[in-house]
Amino acid sequence: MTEQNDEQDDPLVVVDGLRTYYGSERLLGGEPVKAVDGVSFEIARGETFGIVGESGCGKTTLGRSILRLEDADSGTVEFDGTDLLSLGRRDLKAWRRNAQMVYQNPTSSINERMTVGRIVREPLDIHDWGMPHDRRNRVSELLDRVGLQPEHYHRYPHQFSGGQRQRIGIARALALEPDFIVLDEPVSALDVSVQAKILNLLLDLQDEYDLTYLLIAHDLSVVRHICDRVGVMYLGKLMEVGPTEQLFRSPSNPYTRALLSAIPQPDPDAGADRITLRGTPPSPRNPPTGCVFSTRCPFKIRREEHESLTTEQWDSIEEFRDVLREREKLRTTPLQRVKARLGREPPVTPIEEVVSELFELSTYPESVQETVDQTATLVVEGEFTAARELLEETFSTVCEHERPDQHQVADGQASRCHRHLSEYEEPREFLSE
Amino acid sequence: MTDESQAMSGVTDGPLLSVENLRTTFYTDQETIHAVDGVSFTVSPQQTLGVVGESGSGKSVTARSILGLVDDPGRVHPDSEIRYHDPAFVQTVARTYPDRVTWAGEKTARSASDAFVTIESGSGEGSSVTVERGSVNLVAAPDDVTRSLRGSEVAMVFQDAQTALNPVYTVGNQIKELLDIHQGLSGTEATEAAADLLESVGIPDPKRRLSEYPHQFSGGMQQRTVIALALACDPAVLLCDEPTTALDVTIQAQILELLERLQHERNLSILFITHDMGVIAQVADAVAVMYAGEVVEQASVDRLFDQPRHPYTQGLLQSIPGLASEGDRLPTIDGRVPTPNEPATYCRYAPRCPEAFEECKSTHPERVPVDSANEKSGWMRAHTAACLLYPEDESLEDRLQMHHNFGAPDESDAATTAREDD
Repeated sequence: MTEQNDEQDDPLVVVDGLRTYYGSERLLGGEPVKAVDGVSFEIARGETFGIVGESGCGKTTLGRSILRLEDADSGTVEFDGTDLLSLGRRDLKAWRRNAQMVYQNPTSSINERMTVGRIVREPLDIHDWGMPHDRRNRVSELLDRVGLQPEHYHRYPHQFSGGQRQRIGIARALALEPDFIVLDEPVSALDVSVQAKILNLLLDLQDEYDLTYLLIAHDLSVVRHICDRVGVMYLGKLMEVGPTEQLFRSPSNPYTRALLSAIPQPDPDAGADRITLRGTPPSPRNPPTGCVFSTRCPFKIRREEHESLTTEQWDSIEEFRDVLREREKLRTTPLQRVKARLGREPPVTPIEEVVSELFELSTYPESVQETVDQTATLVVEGEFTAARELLEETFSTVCEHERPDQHQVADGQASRCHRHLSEYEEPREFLSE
Repeated sequence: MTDESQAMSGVTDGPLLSVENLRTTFYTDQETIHAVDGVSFTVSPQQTLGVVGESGSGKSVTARSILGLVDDPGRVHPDSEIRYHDPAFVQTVARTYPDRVTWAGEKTARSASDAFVTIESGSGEGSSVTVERGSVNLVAAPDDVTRSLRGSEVAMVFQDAQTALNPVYTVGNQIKELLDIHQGLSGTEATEAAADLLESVGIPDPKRRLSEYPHQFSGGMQQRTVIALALACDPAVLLCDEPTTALDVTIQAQILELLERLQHERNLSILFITHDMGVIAQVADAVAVMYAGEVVEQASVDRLFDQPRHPYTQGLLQSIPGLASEGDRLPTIDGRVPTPNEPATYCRYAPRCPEAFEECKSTHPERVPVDSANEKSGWMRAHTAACLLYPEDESLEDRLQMHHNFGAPDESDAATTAREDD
């Protein structure tokens, strides 16, 4: 592990306000997929910066956008002072010597029809590295360095195991002596005992060649093991950034807390205070207004009159809102609307059943019960939008109205959550109640 | 979670499912692969047995063998025993096949030579027999017995929900098909039952979901649907083959919670296969560690994590990132899992084992108690390891002798010995 660099050292990579949207494939426009939506962070020289998040949160797109394998829509990426997003083709190719990528899937990221030697040699050929006869030696050296045998030069990838294939991928990434490597889930396809070996190899290589890593992973224990700093992503946004140990010991953001508590610990006595999130992440085509995590957040700010509700009661309300949101979505396309008009809707559970399922177990304050009943009536009448809006009016708070700012919560640790504002309880305090 | 005493009470109640010396072999032109090679374990009622191991260790083949789903060129060795102990099921089978029943304890008079039903206690005769305790050996049973067991007694939750569901039928269609086959439900009745099932696995607004296709479901919901399919016929045993491996941690937590709730609500016994030690620690009551087709260590979950004894288990636990202190190199296990393509006459872990000695190459370790204190507490349920280092309070010579003796009947005539033990 490397210490934080001296102050005179500029960071190697500076990402600022990066946005990558995927256009809509529908004929009549529609919202783009906001895969990366305004992400900013820095990576110091020799550092390992980790990005964690669930699948679909945009972490791979982020890594690819930084290397310009995807076209970003706005924002800047500076590498050693150069603005990457404005580089022309020729400059970009020259720059790519400095930055490489190791891909997630060792079976699909290397060409089955090429020998190992040719695979590792390919970047050398493309960038005209040295004299052709030197390249051969360079490849043997690389194979040896990543723990393969020089005689593997003429073998084909199918003769290797998953771990060995990943070593081939690493050798290829190292070929041009880059400064910066994006590791996209380098070990997630491997067994634990093989994982450990690849992680050790990556650490050794970093020491030897002064590499800077951006590690993308969903496995938090891997991140904790090799990263100096970590960023937690959710739905295209960086929710929290901080030094690894600090972030794992005292996570500030509700999402980080939930994510960390969901890791199954290899210890049968652990795991009493798990926070289980409801539902699944919403579509990045249509992210929630306000905070992107607001539809699943167990720490959501409530209105004063709802603060006395129990967690279970609040969950029922949130679930009811989810159901209505989904139902409304069923009527978004013109075809669906026509079908609804004609009474040819797909069968759904009658709303009374949904309500009784969710709300009959406990007694709610009168005002809440009234709103729920009113909503149910609106649904029966077919006024889905009105029903959803009524619930929104009654229950929504700042979490759904405003995008949270990034708040400095500790030295080097920043988190996006309204609860860090002085007028609300910190997530930590909220939990301890 | 179970402690030692609960594990013991499981012994008196008897297991619900027991596997004895299961051997599943794949015969190909090039080689013979002993994918499962002498595996024994028991699943107690309403308990979870975790089976953990790296890829290629034979976990999934074990589960498929139990359900009779091993296809050519794979074959379950006829001397293997997979026994299902539910009295009601045994009674039904015993009445259907009265001439293939054997009574435990009195082998001579009433036993058939090709018997696959064993009755330990019961009364009556022929097609009016009543069974209080007994078992059906699924390996020797005819196909229709296995078929009647599949789904309604033992069901499987597959690893990859996306491929386990049929993409061209709606979710409702797939559940209703099962209900039709196994319970004869159709029409509105089936729709209601299907919606109830989806609701019980935590899918909100189930009736709307019934008319949707699997691709409209998120990964977590697909897995919930696969669980709903497995529960459709109200099984007593659920075989879960890596049910959460393809999921994100927050979704994994939801699914594990769901399985735990269903286990209580429906009194399920679960065989949970995974490679993730963290998941095992969370869900299992007892754990069997598999390596190259064999169970190398078995213990209650607390004991296994507190005092892992087999060098492989120790190595596996140490190589999990996060347990080692931060920044250190992870301890690793050299080499990789061998393909078990020859009979085990030696310890398959020896080439990678830091504690291997000369005899490991020539003596096949059998499952023995890790120390003699364990032996007294019923050795199948207690802490056992297949390693020449154990039982650890014996001298090396005695240990070798012991492993030889355990191994001996295997070579001569396993069939008769195993039968007579019954």
